[in-house]
Amino acid sequence: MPIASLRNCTKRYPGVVALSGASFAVEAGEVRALLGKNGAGKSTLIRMLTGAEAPDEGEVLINGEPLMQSGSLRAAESFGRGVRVVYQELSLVPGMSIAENLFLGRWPTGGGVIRSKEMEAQTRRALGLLGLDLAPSRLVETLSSAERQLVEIARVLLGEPKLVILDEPTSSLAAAEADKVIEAVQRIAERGIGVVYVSHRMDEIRRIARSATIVRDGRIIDTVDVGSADTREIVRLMLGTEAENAASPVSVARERTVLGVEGLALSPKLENVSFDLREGEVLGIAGLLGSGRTELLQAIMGIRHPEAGVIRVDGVEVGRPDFRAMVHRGFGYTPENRKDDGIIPLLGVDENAVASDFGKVESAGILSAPKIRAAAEAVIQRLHVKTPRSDTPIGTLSGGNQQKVVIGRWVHADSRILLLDEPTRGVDVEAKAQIYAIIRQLAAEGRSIIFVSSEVEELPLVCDRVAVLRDGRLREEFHTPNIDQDALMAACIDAH
Amino acid sequence: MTATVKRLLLGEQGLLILFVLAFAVVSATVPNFLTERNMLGLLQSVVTIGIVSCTMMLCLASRDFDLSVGSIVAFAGMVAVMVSNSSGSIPLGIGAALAAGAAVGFVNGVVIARLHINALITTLATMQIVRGLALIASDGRAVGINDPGFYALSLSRFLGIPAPVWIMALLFALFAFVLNRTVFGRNTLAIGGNPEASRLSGVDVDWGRIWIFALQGLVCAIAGILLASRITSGQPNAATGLELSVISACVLGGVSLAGGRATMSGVIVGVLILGIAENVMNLLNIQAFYQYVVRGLILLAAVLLDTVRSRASGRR
Repeated sequence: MPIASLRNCTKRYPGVVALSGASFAVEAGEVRALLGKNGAGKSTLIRMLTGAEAPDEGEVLINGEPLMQSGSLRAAESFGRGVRVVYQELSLVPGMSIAENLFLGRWPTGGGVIRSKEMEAQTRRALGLLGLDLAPSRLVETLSSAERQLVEIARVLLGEPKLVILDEPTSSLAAAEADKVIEAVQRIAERGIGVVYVSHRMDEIRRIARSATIVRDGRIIDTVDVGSADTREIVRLMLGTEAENAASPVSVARERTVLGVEGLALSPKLENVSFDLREGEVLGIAGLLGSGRTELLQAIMGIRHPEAGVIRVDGVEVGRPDFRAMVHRGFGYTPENRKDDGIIPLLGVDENAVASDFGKVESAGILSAPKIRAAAEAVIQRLHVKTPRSDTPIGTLSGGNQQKVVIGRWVHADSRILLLDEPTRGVDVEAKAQIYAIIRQLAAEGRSIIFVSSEVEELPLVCDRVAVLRDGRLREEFHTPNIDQDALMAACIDAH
Repeated sequence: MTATVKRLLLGEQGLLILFVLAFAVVSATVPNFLTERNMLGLLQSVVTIGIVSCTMMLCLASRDFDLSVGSIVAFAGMVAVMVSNSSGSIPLGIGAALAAGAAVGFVNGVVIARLHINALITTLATMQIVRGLALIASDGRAVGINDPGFYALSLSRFLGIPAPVWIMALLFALFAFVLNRTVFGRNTLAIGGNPEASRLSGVDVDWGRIWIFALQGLVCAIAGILLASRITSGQPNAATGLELSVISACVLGGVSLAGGRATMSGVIVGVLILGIAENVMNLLNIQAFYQYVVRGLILLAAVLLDTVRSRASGRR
């Protein structure tokens, strides 16, 4: 009898079917990998198991019995039957000890007083199950990121867990650190606990899981035997067959190299990264969550300081990159997290657009309203920003239009090398297409662009060349018009 | 040599070591400092700050903030004096003052935690409201105590030490225990250290914060009653600026304004450092105006020390 199963579950959200007739089962002691692109339905499936949400149709069985409750009681019911989720490391309290973090919210007490001896003993036992030798009284802030992740896992081992769900537990870890987490997962399964393991790293999956369930567009596509299926096959199932390569862009790159990176290292993510970027070229960087894409862009911009490596701009070596100096050299950078790092939500589109270079919109040191308006109008027109007025607060615009302004900021500053980190994240389909067109147009003007994306489908549409970042290095390289999605995805997830 | 010094100062006990050194230097150089009379006077002078800093520590540790403490102290003192005058019963006056203080704190907590109003703004508002109530009730004048038994609260001694100092010491011990050994105390630190994680772990974050504020009000009332007893009247303008001294003492004692970090021993040291600085300046006949400058400098220095220490230990 499976420890947990979904029977014909369907879940609709306004406008989308997140899960459609899904059936899924995990046995005790089994490690089941769960694979699928972003938005394929993995998280909905997990929320069904944890009782965070109830299916519109179908039922969820834990320990052979269906979950009956609704609302917040449903999650408690699922928890009571032994379903546990390992959250990302951010759910620890850094200033408290390992033992306290494990027992947070369910302290062993006698009359309101915490029984610390008992707490430490149980903590030591839980850590022991994972093969860890850490003092329970150690503060979490003194632990490495892998150790923190392991503490998260140890936390779910208290009580009597039956099913443990891990959602990309290694995405924030370097390869060597990830080993410890994988060993811990193996130990959990050996104790007869069912494990659902969400990850995209095929080498990890091959080590711990026998079978992998692939989700696409809210459907369970297949469950394959990991041992016999090859990566290309799994990728084909993940991406689907309809994924025909649309029109590839025509490269307008010129010979001249504008940016050269050699032997860049930034532990623990980047080991040795080298590449050249030519004038008018769009270079895509593909890679999984946590592969170091953002770190790479930030190291080039001088936001992070690499331990080794040389950065050359127009053939001239940059001594120590520093953000303002890089902007001065003609660089522009749009951050991955647009809401927090990209926009100033309450300021107008106009001020957001000219923020990169106020010098252009002032007269004798005083900001000139007509100049700001003219500059903002220019950005709005060139990048097709849909906004009622040029001084509308940017926070009220859609994600796609916000992103266009964030890119437009660097067009205003006349930047010639643009580093775009996930510019299409959280952007609707139409705006995505417009952003691709904008990027091609900027390249045609002779600007050079690095386009970072975790959606392999879009890279062939925009890029002249795509390099795959994996385990701290740029591995394979693909050139237009021969950028194949499946091959790209396979290169991202697999070490061979 | 320098490496050892650095390690000592940057270690967990850095502040304590500095305190002991400063105490030794002051004892050796300032005349009349290390006398029984002066020591008792010093302790009595920090009673109000010391008592209120117990709960301010919890408040800051949970990532909250309370500016209304000074007003509550004055208000509770007024209530204690006025109720005991009119009813003729000191216990009744004390009970009313404690209830009034706790009620103000409870309102603070509910507004902050339930209505999600910023703690700074909320307590800035109650600080003025409560001070206003104290002024209205007394028509802006000091209200003398009728029953001499009320003075006895602060005059009585046990083993030669005045009662308020005992109460302060008792509260120090109590809150050290609460912070370190009780669910309430650990939840307080967890809420400040990572509110979201605490919520996900099943900690009742909202009620935790409400109880902290209610307790803060109650403890302020204790301080207010003792203060009224010492100055033999309810003073509507008593304890102005207390909130800043108390927060200074806590920060001096290593309590993080970002929440999640607090020790009672640190706060005690912080309170004593402020007390000693003032005491020494009085003994040396330094004009009171300079004391503000010195207190500010001490606070800045302590915060700088803490930042350097955090960087040295690679804290995030």
